[in-house]
Amino acid sequence: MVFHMLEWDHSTAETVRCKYGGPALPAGIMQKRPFIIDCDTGTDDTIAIIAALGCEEMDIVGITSVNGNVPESYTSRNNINLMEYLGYSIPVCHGAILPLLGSKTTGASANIHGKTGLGSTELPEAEHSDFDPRIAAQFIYEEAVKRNGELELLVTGPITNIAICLCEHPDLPKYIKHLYFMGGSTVGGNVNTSAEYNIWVDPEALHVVLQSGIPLTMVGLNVSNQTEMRNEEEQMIRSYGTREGDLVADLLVYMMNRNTTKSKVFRANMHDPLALASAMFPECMKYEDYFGDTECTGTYTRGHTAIDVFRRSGKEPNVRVAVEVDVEGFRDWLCERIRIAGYNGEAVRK
Amino acid sequence: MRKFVFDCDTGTDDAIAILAAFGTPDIEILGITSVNGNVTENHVSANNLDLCEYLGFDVPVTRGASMPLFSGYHNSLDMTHGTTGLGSVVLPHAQTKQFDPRIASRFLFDMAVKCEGELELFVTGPMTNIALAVIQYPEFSDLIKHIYFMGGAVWGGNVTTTAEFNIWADPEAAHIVFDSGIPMTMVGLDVTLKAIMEKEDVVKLRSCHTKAADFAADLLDFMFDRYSRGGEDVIMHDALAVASALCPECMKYTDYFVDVETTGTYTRGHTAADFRGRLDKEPNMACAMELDVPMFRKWLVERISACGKSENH
Repeated sequence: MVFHMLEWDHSTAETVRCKYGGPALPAGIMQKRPFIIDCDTGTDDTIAIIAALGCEEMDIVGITSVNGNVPESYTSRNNINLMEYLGYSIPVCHGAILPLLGSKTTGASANIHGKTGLGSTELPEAEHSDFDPRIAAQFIYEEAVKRNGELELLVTGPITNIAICLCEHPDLPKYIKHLYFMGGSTVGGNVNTSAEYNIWVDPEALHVVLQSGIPLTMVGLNVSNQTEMRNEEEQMIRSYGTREGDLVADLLVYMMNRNTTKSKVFRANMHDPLALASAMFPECMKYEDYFGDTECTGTYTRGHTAIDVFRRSGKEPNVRVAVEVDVEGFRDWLCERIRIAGYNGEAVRK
Repeated sequence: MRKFVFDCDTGTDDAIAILAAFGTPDIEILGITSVNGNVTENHVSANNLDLCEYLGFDVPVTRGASMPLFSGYHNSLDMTHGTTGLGSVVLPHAQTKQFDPRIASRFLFDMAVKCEGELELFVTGPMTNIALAVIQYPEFSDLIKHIYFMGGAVWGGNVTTTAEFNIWADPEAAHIVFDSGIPMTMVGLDVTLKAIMEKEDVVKLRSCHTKAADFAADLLDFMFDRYSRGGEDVIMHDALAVASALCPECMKYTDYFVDVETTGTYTRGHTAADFRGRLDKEPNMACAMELDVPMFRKWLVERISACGKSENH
């Protein structure tokens, strides 16, 4: 990816500082943070990936696919098609086709992400790209070990691949610096009154991850439901005149219009990009450390993220939970990431 | 004339709800039944008896279930209602008034028969007594016209992230009642957390110079003090259930199929409202989802102001 001076403030000779915060770095050195993005692409997953391509400090090691918004056969196709379409040779892996306990629950969101996961948008079929031969869990473990504890994970779908990796490699936690995930909620749900979709699809996987000791940040509906994108953002993003911008704008149009089929409200909320923001623009949210576990046994409540917000469990916190979001700041940041992603992309494709 | 039995776990806000009911003209309160909840049943029953004698409410007061049907013994957390249930307010002990000899479930059934299908219930505590009536008397459910209850929430909880206290304290009882076919209105945290009284309401009540209004003002003062010490706000959970029957226009309602989560590890007591319509079941209750706060406060102050006027003047 290309380094852009305009995002950096050379206010002193010794340090440069990202416009949106982040650590001060020695001048001239850009210490990139290695990430794997594990996703069930997905309309808003796509936007998160594109925004990640516009994060200068991020080194995307690979993209791993998981069953979720749509079956894995679609999410993995979407990921590889997206990389080829945008001109990147980032490894793309297949991943779990079923939740950890094998239960089949997908399909509930077909009216949210469309049949293939990208709404009404169609990407050209990738012709020159092959999947990485490794399955997601293997890829994640090997890349984590290679990076000696510096690898970070962004998970925007059911957390199955990470749980599988933990089952197969109990030493994974010492190699993962941090895991940021979109899922759950401190209150309410979107599948039912208590469960958010990603966790509802695979409650046991999150239960495993929450017990793993990996440093975790949860970005749930309690914040992500506030991040609706509107016509003005869509128009601004389209005005960038880039392949990335146009794709995001098309997805936003689909998301803004999908409400009309039923009375239900599925606004163009940026659930997954907000999880990216928790990693790359953490200042746009406030967080609290809580003990949390997944409800795995309820009749109506399976998949609820039981976050001990009343602090009555007496248990040590195991997850950092986003509790407030600066919506305007987040939107500005997201649009800017998409603008830079387009700028980078145009250069990559030349 | 509409006829009600008031089933409660008095309880600071239960007491205020009782005053609102007795201050409403053209309805008849046939009795007050007590249940374990905010505080233990012996405190609840004593509060109900003392309250009726102190304010001259000449209705039967019964004792009721002292334990939940199935789950462990739970009472209110962090002194929301003080040790005895009325916060710092102390009523004179009843000198002459005696408990009705019947236990709550029997009394409820007798009243239901007597009213020939016209009986309505206010339920402002755990639903144990009502469930016990449902499972002992086959005719009971058909004889109840409507239940207005404070409990549950479509969204969120106050004991856990998914459970409200009254339902959490006896999830199985609520499940039995929800499944009984009795028409119901649920007044849950979705609206009750907004039903917060203001200091000016206390001033208005004090200006009435009645025993009932002074008693209510004392309870509100306790709640203001509780809030200033970091406790629950001056929230009128239970009076709002009374309002759903007697001032229904102050809320907006949505019909849902609602069942109680009785099997979760963390979520027992969640009122699972099928808001997506995925269970393909007929709605079994109206859930209050929006509240006109000023309208409710005005109604409540008026009703309490009217309560016991004749006895005091």
